[in-house]
Amino acid sequence: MRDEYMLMNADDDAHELAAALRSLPLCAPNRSHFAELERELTMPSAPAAATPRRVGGAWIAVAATLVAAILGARLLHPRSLPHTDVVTAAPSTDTLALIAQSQQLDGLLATLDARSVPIDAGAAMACAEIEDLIGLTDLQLNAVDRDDEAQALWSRRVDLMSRLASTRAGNRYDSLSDNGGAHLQGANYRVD
Amino acid sequence: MASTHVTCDQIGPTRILGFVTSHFAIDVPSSLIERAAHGEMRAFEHIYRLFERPVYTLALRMLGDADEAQEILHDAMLQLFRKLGQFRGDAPFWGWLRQIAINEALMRLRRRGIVETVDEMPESVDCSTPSPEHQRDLERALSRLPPVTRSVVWLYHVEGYSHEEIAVSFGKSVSFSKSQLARGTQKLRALYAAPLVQVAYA
Repeated sequence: MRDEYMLMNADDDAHELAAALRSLPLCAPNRSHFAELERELTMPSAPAAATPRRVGGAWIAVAATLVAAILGARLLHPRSLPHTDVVTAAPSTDTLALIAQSQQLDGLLATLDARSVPIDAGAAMACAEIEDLIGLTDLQLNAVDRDDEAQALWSRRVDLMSRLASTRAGNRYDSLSDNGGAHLQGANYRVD
Repeated sequence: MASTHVTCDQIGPTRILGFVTSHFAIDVPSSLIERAAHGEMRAFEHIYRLFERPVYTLALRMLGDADEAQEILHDAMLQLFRKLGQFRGDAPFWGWLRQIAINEALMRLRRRGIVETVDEMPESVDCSTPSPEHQRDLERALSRLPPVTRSVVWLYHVEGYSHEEIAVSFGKSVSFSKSQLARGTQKLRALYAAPLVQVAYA
């Protein structure tokens, strides 16, 4: 009986706490950022980054260092780069093949994304890390002009995207719904 | 004796059916969703405006950082727009969007690398909306919980998630969810003991 009483009290406390939490007001951003989102949605996407990826601060720092090092080396030793190495014409066949492969993987990932199913925490973490690496590769791709460098980076991008696709595809689950139990809940509001 | 209390296993559905109504729970007409799915920006904006505050609030409560909450709102809405065409309609739209937002928030938590460090104290969250004193006290107490504990408390008490759903979202066990909830509730009680009584009997 005592246990039952205590359990009832604990349950009442939990309900009180829940009620207090739910009574907290909704928060709003300082200003609406819809205009920026709209711009991003209507902007034609860059070829190297079909989906915009946010790159973590550490990766931006690494990328910035790399770009600075490349530019610095060129400024300090402008004659060390043979003119013939600079690609001004179309990329090589091998590079084009890698670009096509990368685009195919973009399509595959879009299909996987479209299913909008949650993945487990370990896989989510792995995906986030791979996405950051892809973001870094995209940054590097924007900074290279030699075909051999570009080819290496496209190859790396294809490899990372393959890993991302297999991680996402291999860690899907269908249980517990996509909706966090939403199917069990009624709506508070109706929009007509 | 007719028992009015429920066991832990019964709490989920009872709460869902009886008491928990999420701020996300807004019925959106399928015609509006279809228009947005076909790329009609004004229809999408309508959906954005409807869910801007629920998504932002959820992210703010979970992450405890206004800038990150804004980024999560942005990313979640970006994802929503790209995936709208795949919405099947066999479950509420708002639940689908909420899951997208929660996944974004959880990914942020993982990128911070604090999922395991449950004792870390975040900076205090100030909601811009003016609120009564007791609500400010509760917000302050909530913001002093570690992010993971706070997220579990919020998902369970406010969004009506079951322990099983929280466990799956975090990639942890049901025991993890239960212990985080117990820990969070205990800490909140300690931080917010007197004002909670005011709320309960007001």
